[in-house]
Amino acid sequence: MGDKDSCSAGCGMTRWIALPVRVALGGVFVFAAFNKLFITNGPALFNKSIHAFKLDEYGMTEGMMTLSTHLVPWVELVAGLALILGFWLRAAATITGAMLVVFIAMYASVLLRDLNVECGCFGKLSPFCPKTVGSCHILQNATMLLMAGLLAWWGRSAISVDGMLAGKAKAPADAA
Amino acid sequence: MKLVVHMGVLLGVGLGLGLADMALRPLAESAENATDINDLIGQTDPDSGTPANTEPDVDTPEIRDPVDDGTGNTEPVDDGTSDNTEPVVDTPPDVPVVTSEPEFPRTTPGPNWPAHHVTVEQASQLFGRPDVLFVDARALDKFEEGHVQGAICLPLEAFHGQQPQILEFHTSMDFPIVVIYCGGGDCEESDAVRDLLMPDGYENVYVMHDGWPGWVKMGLPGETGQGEFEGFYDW
Repeated sequence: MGDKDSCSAGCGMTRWIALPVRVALGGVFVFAAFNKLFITNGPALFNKSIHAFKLDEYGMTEGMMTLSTHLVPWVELVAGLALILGFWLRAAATITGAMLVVFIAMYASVLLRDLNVECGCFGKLSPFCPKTVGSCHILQNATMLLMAGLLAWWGRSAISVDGMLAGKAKAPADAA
Repeated sequence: MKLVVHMGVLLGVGLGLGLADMALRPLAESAENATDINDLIGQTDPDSGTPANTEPDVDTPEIRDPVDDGTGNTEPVDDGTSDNTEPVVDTPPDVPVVTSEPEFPRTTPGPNWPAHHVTVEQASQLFGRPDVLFVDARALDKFEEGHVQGAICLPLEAFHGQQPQILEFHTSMDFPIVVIYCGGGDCEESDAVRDLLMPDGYENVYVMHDGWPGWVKMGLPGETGQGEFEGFYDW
């Protein structure tokens, strides 16, 4: 009952459903980031993959591609870790959701332009879909987008840093 | 409002780490992370950074570095050319050839060579080692006419249309050091193949700048036909 004011969309059962959802989604993001950042030639491979999307046709400069090569994996890593830990869950889920929207748009543009692009989403690996970008990638990211949307909507999860922080903040108030 | 602040902080941390990564580990460096070939050879001259044994096995004139003499020397040389794509074995000594580099093959890296470009001399010191693979980036017919002994043929066109077969092939080969060559001089196949190989886990990938003509010129071991991979090349 003390949670009532802090649970905007759902507590109880949804908190426990959110737990595996957030760990799975965060895990995928951390895995993807790790493979772009820390495997041999991971950054070079990701940069090559970005070039393969031919984003220069949309005005993206070489510098912006280099910037993306370095920034995207780190944002993925931070957001993924935040999801796994359940720390600022709604913010982390919103960021991952926004990234997934961009990724889906990129995949769609590849399909529309009939390009043959090898996805560097997970570095050298391609655990869920064939390496070449296709509708499977859109489905994959749409599923993750749904997960991110649910997490952002629920905003709370069982066994999370957010829960611990909320409990600590509540304890002095209860004691008073 | 709290959501916006939290998002800003998470994004700020991610972007900050990304910018730090870009400053500390620039892309060119991560793509160009091959070990200095002299460290692999293990025979370096501490003063010049070039292999101690730079005396070629064949009778070549003294090396003149175009930077040192500052003349942009284009005077005729008495042996092969840097852009000659045909193997040169017995070129008449008096054939006047205009070349951008004074000697062929060079025994010191050229001033404008990328860091991963090595001399035939340096490459030859890796030849025969079990951890070194020589890759011929020229077309198959050129490969069959003559190639470095034990080399594999991996031309650029092999990556186009035959990619699954080729990728499966070369990723199954566990060579920590790869030396790629083509027709020497300004040929671009070696660098193109290297760019395609680099993202697949190879780090120490070098380009033998003077290529097959340089190898022949120095009288190093070669062979004709398809070598030990007879019948594999079916593109």
